[in-house]
Amino acid sequence: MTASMQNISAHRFTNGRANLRRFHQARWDEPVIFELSQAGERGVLVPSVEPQVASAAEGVLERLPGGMLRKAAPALPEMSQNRVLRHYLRLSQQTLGADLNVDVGQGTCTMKYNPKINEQLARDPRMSDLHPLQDADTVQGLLHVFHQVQAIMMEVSGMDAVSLQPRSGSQAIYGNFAVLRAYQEAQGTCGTRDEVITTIFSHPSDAACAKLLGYKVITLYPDAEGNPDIDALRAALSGRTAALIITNPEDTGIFNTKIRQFTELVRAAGGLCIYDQANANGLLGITRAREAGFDMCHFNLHKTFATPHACGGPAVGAMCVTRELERFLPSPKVVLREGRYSIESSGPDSIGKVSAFMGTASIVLRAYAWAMNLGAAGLREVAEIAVLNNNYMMSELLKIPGLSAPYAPGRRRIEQVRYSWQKLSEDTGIHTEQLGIRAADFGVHYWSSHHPYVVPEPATVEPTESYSRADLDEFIDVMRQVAHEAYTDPRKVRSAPHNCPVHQVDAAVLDDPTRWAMTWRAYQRKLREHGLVPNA
Amino acid sequence: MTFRIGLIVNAMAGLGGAVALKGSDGVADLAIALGAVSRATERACEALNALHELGHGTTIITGSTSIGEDAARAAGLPVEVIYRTATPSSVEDTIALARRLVLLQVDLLMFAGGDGTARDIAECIGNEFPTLGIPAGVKMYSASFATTPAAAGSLAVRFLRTRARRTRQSEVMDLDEEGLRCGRTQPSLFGYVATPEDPRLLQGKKIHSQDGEAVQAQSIAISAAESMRPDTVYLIGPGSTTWALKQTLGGAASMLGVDAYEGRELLMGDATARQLEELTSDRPARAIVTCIGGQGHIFGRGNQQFSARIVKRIGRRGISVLATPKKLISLAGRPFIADLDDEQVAAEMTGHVEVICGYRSKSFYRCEAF
Repeated sequence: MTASMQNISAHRFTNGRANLRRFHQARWDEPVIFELSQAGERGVLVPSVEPQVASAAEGVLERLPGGMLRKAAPALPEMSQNRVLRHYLRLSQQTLGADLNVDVGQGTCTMKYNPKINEQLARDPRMSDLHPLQDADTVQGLLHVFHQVQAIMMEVSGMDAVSLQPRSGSQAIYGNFAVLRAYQEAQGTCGTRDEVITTIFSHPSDAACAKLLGYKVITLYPDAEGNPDIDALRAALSGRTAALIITNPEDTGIFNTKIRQFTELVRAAGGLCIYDQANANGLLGITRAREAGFDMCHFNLHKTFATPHACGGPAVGAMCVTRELERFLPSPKVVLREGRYSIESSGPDSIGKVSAFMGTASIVLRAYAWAMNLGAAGLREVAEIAVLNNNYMMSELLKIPGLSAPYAPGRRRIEQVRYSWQKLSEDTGIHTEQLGIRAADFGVHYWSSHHPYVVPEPATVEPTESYSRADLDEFIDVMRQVAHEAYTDPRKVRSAPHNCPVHQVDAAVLDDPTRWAMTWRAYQRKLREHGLVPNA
Repeated sequence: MTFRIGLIVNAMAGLGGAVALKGSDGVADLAIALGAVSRATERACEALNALHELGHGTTIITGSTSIGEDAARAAGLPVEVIYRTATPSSVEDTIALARRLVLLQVDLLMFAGGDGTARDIAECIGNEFPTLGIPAGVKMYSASFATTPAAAGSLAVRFLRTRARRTRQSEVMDLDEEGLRCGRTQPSLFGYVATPEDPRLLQGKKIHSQDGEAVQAQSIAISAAESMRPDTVYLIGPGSTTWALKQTLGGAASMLGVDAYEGRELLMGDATARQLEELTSDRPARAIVTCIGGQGHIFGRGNQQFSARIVKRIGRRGISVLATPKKLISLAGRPFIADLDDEQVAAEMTGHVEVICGYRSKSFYRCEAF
């Protein structure tokens, strides 16, 4: 043996368990792309147009409506290909994302692996070159996929009809409330039944969409077990009740075993029941909306069905309804008649479009590939492993001093848990957001909760089926470390992050419209308004 | 960035607790004779330690020795003494120093003490100046206190660092200590102070400026006003959320009293229990009240004008509680409490009552008898 030989992995393990990663995020100090523009610089040199093409296209601009013609060329950055590539690769290194880190801390978002073969399918020119106005005869394959995904959603929910048109979960919620209103218009109860009941743990879009459609909102608070207070529901129900919108489990991960009583009470009072199943990851193949007494539900394909979140869309929220409500679903719809698919506008009762054309076809295709690869038994296994992962993680995380899982002590959770750092915070003065920022120093992060915080000092963790035990242990070890630091070296936590390119941000900027700039042009204008000179 | 933080320590605070005197008002000498030691300076120091994070240029403006200088020096922070006092300081010193700190327009007034101290300060500086309590007393029913000294320190740091500083109205409550020593527990509402709103609870990416407490109170007020019918008498209790409603309705209403309205017209301001009974004797009536943050009283704290007889007449379904979601959440699952001097009426209040918690937003929340 020579003395110069080293074990290059020695620092990575202690007693066989991985040590914390010595992570440091990249910092490129990369300018905004507009600042990189050089006049005349080109990524692609477009060949000049052949005379035949030029003559064929002659006068084409005159056929466009005058209002649609630009008066000046768009002020796009002018850059060579390699500089564009470098720019975006550098930015990508400064982010954390599902393909880069253990993303179980993005609770309620159901972060799971989006198989790359499904990406290849969606980007195949036979898919990506299609146009929504193509004749239905030329897209029979894609319409078959839509039809099949609708059938899968019907099977998973127990509902009778599905629309894949909404391009987000919130749009599906909106769509379901629009169906509710259309149903009430048909029943003549719009003026009398104007209240929607929801819960404080529900996604804010549930209450927001109800209000958008003119409903008043009644919010239920949790009982000691963490379930919505059923006696409060009884008090809230009346001749004014239009619907209940609820989820199960809520963000606490606690399964509401009284859910059937909830829906029965609402139906007895003359209301409809809407199930927000944006995240159904712990229930696939185990429970269904129909058997729990619901009239409508929706699934987010970008959560449970493994399609990308894509930074806020485009996505798909699948609306699922009973036979009674089918005629109100969005238009158009896919119809199968004598072995041929067609796109037909729905009848006069339809709520119309909630989105252009058929929705986001590429997402529907990805979800189809994912579900068909798993099969029915595989979907159930997804739920089982997600629940197992979550309960393993909960049992480990609850060993960390200062952390608790409020409500229903001793009961297992379904697919996620909303933890509380309340005790740690009282002991140390460190808040959940500060712990989350410190966790970023180790290459992970976690989400706290919607506002207002019902669980004090919250942390919401959702380990889906995609993560291995080693992944879960890495996340657990980071949580243990940051909590330990809060007790022993709070200054280090307060001054975090130490290994990230962007330090603490003064969030007050977000409250100050005079300093917002959503576009480069707005930024330039605001600089001038503040007496500052825009960059050359 | 430089910060000027006012500090008032009631070194007598908390003396009575350990020796079972249930408070320190008027019994400090007795407590000391019994061996009590004040920890107010120590607790103030614990809170001030966090202020080092604000960096150089942070100065504590206070009075000499035990009223603040001792704690600031123990925390190792620069001190500017603007008021001389004997040791121990008196209530008069607390009031005089508080008035001076407000005149100096310090960035934040921090005080260490209990409910009695909070009361003294609220009475002399009103409810607009940013004020934060460091818990150091025996009784701390007031919502103006942070949960621990360390929490007070870190909240102060976050508040001062924020450009768009916001405050919320916090109740100042106190028990009558004479009564408490005889076994009576009746905390009353003595007023409000403006305490820092925790920017961390406000400025997550999913929350926007319109979620500020004052704006929410406004939307609750508009919603409540819209539901008021001209043929009904409304008895509107004291509180910051109900005050927003009273301001929406107009008229010379009172912040700390019960005001009677017929429809949306003021019938009588600051009415007594007897007057309320007369006003509701022959007309349909409803009560609009708020709940005490963190404790949940809807009757029997600061609104004793709502006698058992009136509450019985109105009934549980005739009551609307005005409360922001944050206030309901602050109860941590505990029910509303109806503390009425008639057990039967109080028992009738057990069940769910309507809560108006935003524009066209309601809730139903459990209420129990005291």
